[in-house]
Amino acid sequence: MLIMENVSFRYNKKELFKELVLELKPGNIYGLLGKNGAGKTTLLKIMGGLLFSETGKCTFNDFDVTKRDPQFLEDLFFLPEEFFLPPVKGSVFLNLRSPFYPNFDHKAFNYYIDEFDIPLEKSLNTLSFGQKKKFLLSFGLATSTKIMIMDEPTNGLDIPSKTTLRKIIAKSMTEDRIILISTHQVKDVENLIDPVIMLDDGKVIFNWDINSISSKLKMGSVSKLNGNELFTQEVMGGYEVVTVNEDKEDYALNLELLFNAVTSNSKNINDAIKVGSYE
Amino acid sequence: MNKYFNTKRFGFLIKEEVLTNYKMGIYFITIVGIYTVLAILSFTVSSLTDAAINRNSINYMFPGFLFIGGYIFSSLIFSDINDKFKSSLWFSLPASTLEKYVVGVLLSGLGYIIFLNIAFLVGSLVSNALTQPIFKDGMELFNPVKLFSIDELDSSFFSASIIFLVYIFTHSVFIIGSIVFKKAAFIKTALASSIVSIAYSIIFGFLGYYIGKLGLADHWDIRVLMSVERYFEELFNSGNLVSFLYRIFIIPGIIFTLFFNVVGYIKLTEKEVKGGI
Repeated sequence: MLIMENVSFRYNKKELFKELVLELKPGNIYGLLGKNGAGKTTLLKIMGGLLFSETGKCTFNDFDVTKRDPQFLEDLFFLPEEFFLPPVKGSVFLNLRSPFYPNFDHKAFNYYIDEFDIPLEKSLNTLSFGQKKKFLLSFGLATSTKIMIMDEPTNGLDIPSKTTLRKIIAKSMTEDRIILISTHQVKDVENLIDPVIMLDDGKVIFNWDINSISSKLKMGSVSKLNGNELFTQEVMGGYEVVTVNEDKEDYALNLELLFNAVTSNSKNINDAIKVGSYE
Repeated sequence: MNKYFNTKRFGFLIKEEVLTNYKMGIYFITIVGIYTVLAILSFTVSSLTDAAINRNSINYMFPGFLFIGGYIFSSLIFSDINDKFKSSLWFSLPASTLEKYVVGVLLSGLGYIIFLNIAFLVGSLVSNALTQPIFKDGMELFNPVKLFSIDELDSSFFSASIIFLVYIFTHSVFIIGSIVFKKAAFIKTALASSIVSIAYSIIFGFLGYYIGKLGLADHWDIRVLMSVERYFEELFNSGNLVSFLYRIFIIPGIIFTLFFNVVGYIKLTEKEVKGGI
């Protein structure tokens, strides 16, 4: 389990997080959503021990992440948004890096590489950005680490690759693993992430599992407003609305609509879900 | 598994560092190329002008390559941690900070010495193969022990090793530079070292001047200086130059390098991946 306790962080003089509290439990694919500049990358870096918080503590399975103990790093794979791969063949990279991860699954790696159609015998520096990303994603998922942190994993991927990515992430998920996906492209991770965490202005403004959201909120399109909506946005031919789900039926989640609703008025949305739910 | 140092992990790290360091090949070709071009040039000039040529002269570039090249290499050894595209993967690679630091020190120290010796050896072989058929003469095979042999010293191996020890002792300063400075680490470290050296010289110069000016009643300061001078003179004249060099150079050198490596390690543990919100 990853625990952040009262984490405060500032960039130069600008305060980004103030006493932030967050828990990530195994067996979940968390989606970390937020606008540009909300602090998503900083939060991921603090979790990965790459940045140190000013106050508070971040631990993963009782390891203080700032110590960068090899035992912790063996259980962490951090996929940055931008990265460099050395000019060696994919197979060489695999032979050099996989021994660092005791639970590396070679069979799974080959499967992911096949799914993404990445040539292993080509030098990594000759691959396109998207291919490099798919290679590193395959490597990261095959490390079988207990926590995998991905910063904007769908950036640079074509549409079929995004579908493949969702498929292989779901396949690589185990009960003892935490996958955290940070993105501002909410559509890319729809039907994959659960729970949903939203970050705005350095604060966690939303943190609910999909079941709670879809049982408490109703999202859809209407041609006329009735005044009971929690959130509305004008679209061609009518409105997209978020309302309280009074039918007690689970409704399909429109993540983009939910994101807009939460970022415009998080209190209303959180209050609507809180009724009869456990946060 | 030891959380600070594990030989298996250390081995993986060395292998990874050496095999993915594509720039080493470029450096190697550059050194061999410069050596060969200069050798051919010097033999051509010599044959055209009838000037006498010391067949060993190009090998005397070795200290320049060792110190300047080695300091530049040391200044780049941890450049990945200051590169926004490389730093996240570098820090999250499962090895301890101590292992990562020691690999950097070993590769930029002992590794560079071995690398440079091989490059010079290959350079002398290649230039020999090219100059022999044309000029019926060529470079001597590079041998650092022969190159730096000092007659006064009992052991020519020891005299050769002195130059390598000076490099090993001093390159740790540039390792700190590669950790601390994001860009132009070599120039900034060289500048910072010069400023610190000048500051020390000024401070000690003033101290010496004022102590002398105070003109203490019995001139104890002069007596101290004279006894230190006499001590070194006696040691030098005793014929045991090796022991002399050890005392004045190796022990302070070890203390110097230990201090800078501890500082370098602490700096590395404190390093963060900044940039991007």
